[in-house]
This record gives sequence, structure tokens and C-alpha cells, in this order.
Amino acid sequence: MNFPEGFKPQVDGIQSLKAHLSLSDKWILTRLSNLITSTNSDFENYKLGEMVNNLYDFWKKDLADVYLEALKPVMRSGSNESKAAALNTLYICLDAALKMLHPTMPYITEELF
Amino acid sequence: MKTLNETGKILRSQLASYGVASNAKPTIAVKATNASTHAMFVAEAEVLKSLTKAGELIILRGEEKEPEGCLSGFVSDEITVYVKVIGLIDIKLELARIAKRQKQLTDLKDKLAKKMQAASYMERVPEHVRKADAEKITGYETELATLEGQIVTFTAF
Repeated sequence: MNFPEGFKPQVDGIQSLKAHLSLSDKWILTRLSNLITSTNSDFENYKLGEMVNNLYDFWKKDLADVYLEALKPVMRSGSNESKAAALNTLYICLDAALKMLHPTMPYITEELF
Repeated sequence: MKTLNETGKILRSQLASYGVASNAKPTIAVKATNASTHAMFVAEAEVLKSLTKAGELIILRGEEKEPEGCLSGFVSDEITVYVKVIGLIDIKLELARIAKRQKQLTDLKDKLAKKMQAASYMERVPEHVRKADAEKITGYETELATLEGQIVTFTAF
């Protein structure tokens, strides 16, 4: 699955698309919010092992295993609004998770960003 | 979403334990006895279908009967999942797996029942732990009953 050619994220994040968020979109945003809180706390307290484990779990178990699978039916047959909500949710997750991973994986995240 | 994920996880591990190929697109059914859980599954059917790579997904109410030739999996007291196995799996291997799980469950249940029958159990164990133990026993009994049903189904194939 790719972002469509010329995709531009919403300036206001997902504020204007709130009504079109699916259960999966809301779930991954909640997981991301929890990850941001734990990453900040772990980083400040030098718990780098835990921080990396949580980031790994988010990328692999939440984002790749569940959310990307849950996106497929939306991208196949969802409305334009739900597709936009899903793509912007995915963009927010990738953007924030790459930033959080950057201190521990600087080169590859810089390349991907 | 937690329930949906858990159900997807159980179904995926059930399919993996049967050795079903990832491109087999099996027919799957989910039975929910609780009305709100049933409504959630209906709303999120396409997501669950994608998570389990199912060819067909049937959502059933508590009183509805599952399709013929299905093996069940246990998610919770309220949710049971079914995979249509005719033409998909090796029955001998599956019967051995059920026997092993039955033994595990019976051991766990007996151990817990023995602990609960001890004279000091009511005095020394806090109420929330007693409640959790009682729920565990119910869970074991439900799963054992499900497994008994599976043996009957298998031997009928």
C-alpha cells in the first residue's frame, strides 16, 4: 500500500476528519499517544532498553501486524472521507514513530523521514 | 478493538495450529452471545476478515448454529470462533492436539479446585482473588466442554 501520488497531509492533523475515523484509526492513535508518553518518560529516566522495546512493539505488533491489515478494506472500498482519515492517521503514526525512533536509529530514520 | 484483536489473534493461532496455508482463505465464523459485542463484530467484519485472511466471515448471534464441519476456538465466555476445516486439516493430528489440551486443562482445574477446597482458603485468600479463581474454573469448564464438542465433531467426519 502506498500513499497516493501528491498526497498532502491535513494541516490540522485529523481534526477536520474526526467524524470519519474508524475504530482502528482511533485505536492506533490511542496506542501512539500512550507510546509518546512512555517514550518521553523512558528517555528522561535513561530506560533506553524499555523505550526501544516499546517502539519495536508499536512498529511491528500495532502498526504493521494490525493497523496496516485493518486499513486494507478501507482503502479497497471505503468512502473518500474514511480513506482520507485513514491515510492521515497513518501519516501521523509514521511521522511521530520515526521521530521517536530517531535518537536510537539516527541514520535509517533520517533516510526514511 | 482489544476484543477484535484478541479474536483475530486466537483465529490466527488456531489456523496456524491446523497448519492451514496462508493463501487458503478459509471460512470463519464468530459467535457472540452479547448484543453489543455482536454489533461490534458486524461493524468491523471486514477488518477481522483482513486480520485473519479469511475467504468468508460469518457473524453469528448466541442462538444461531455454526456452519457444518467447523472446529471451534475459545476466546471468552461470550465469544466462540469457528473455522471450517473440511478439506483443510489432518484430523488425526488435531485429535492429538485436543487430547493434550484437555489434559492441560484438567490438571489446571484440579490444581485450582484443590487449592480452593483447602480449609484456610476462605480466611486467608482476599475476595478479589477468590472471585478470579472462580472465574478461572468457569473458563476451564467452558473450554473443556468446547473441546468435548470438537471431539464429537471430528469423530463424525
